Amino acid sequence: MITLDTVKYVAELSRLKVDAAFAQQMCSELGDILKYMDTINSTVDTDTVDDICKSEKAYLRNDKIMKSLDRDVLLANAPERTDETPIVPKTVE
Amino acid sequence: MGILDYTAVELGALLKAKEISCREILDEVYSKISHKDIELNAFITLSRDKAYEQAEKVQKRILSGKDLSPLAGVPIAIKDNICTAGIRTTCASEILGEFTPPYNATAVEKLYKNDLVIVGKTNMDEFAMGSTSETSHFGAVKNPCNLSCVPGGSSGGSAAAVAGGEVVCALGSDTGGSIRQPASYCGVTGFKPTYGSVSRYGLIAYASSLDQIGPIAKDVRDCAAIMDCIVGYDTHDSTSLHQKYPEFLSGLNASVKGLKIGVPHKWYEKGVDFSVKEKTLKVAREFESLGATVVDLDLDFIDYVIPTYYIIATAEASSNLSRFDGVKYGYRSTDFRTVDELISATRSEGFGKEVQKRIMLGTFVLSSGYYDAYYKKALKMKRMIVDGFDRAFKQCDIILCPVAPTTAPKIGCALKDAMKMYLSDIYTVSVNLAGLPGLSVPCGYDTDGMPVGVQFIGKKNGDLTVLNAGYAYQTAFSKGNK
Repeated sequence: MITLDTVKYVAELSRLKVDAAFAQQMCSELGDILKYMDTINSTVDTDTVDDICKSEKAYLRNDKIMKSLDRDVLLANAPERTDETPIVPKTVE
Repeated sequence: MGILDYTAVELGALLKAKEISCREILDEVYSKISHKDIELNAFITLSRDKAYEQAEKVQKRILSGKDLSPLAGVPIAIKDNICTAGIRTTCASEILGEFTPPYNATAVEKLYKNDLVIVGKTNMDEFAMGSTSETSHFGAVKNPCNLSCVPGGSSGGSAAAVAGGEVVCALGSDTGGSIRQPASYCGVTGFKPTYGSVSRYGLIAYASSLDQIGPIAKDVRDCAAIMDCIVGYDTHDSTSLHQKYPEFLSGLNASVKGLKIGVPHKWYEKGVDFSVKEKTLKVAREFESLGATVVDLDLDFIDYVIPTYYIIATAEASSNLSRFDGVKYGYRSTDFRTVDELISATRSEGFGKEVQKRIMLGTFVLSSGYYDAYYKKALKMKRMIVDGFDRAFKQCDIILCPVAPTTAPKIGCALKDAMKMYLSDIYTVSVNLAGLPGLSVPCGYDTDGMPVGVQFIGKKNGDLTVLNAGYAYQTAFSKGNK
């Protein structure tokens, strides 16, 4: 079962602020979903099954420098910007 | 017959024969949207100026007699999670604000190369997370067949725009049924290609191992014509398949003699509405009259497809949506002092509740102490689903089943019970988990007059076989949804 503390911890990991009411709602809704998943998961024997990732082949491209988009074009959507970068509050004191 | 009563392929032919102009079609599209979209709310953004500019260029190319794509000059709507350069792209979320992509998705670039005209961006569930198109920041989409019902989701706007006669075709995206289910609910045709067939570059990701762009249109021929435009290897998408593709439109031949159609009869034993069961099983019998053979399949993985899908999809979503933080683009909260506060305030204010729930669920199943029990377990169940389909396709060429257990529910009902909404994806999610092609074709109506869709599932790269089966059905028994 998922507790309120776990919801708050998961919210913090997700970089989400949850008020008391929403946390309680999530506790209930996520609890229902996880309970259903637990019920199903417990009936499926996967002990001898390989997970899917090991079977997939990865195609890699050549390590070649290619032109990307112009800086100005990329920064056009920034909420706040200098000529070269987005602006955010100080990250290092 | 009105201009927008034609299919996309038919309109392309009329344009080529110079019996109609691109401008005339666009005038009709925007006139229809101005009348109907107040009710349907299928569109978030209309790109009139760009569309007329494009139409003028294409018209010159048509008049010059150049050999163009069968869909040259045909207008198309694009789901609003697909990047369109210079046209606002929102994913139906507040968090993207007025984000205007500086580039086209590869699928969009290919539509431009084939001279289609993009008319606007369609409404959807926020970040493609939903099955009803009710979670949009821009308001719910309505089903043109009954305005008190949902159109399905998450490509509900695209399906409603086609079904409502606003456009003749659209692009959607499908992660767990988001093309096929709204196509079924709205009585139009929708196709999810084999994973890797259509580049995901420029598709704003929900679950990267499951997402695919695909067409929603009036019939299978139109879907095939659009597929010809958008398939192909792309260096920008490392999951894009290195292979050649058949020509889908010219490859349709309506012959299903000798085709083996697998029907998982156990999937019908509980939870399926009578009309859905009756209409979809009737399709199987109709195929027998066309020379196909029906075989019974035992696909027992149906019991665990939903937890497998929701664990994997939300886990991937929690990672994919971590980029939305108010720093480089989109909405930024004003309620912050530090960077951490900027990020959490922006995300909490900018994301809707369903998106926040799925992000938290995904974060939970990936977190320390729960990773093995949920995420790793789900990857193994995914393997079992892939193996289950592989065994099935040794017995048949395509699988026939419902798209959804019911027809379109009333607006407001599905969101009251999240588990019930998630369980309604039971027939579609396994197709995404296995990366297979899936087609939704209208096959009748329930007693309230709401459309029923039948689903054809093919083996990996069996897209033409699936499309041909749908084409054979529509040719013999219905005319799509003209």
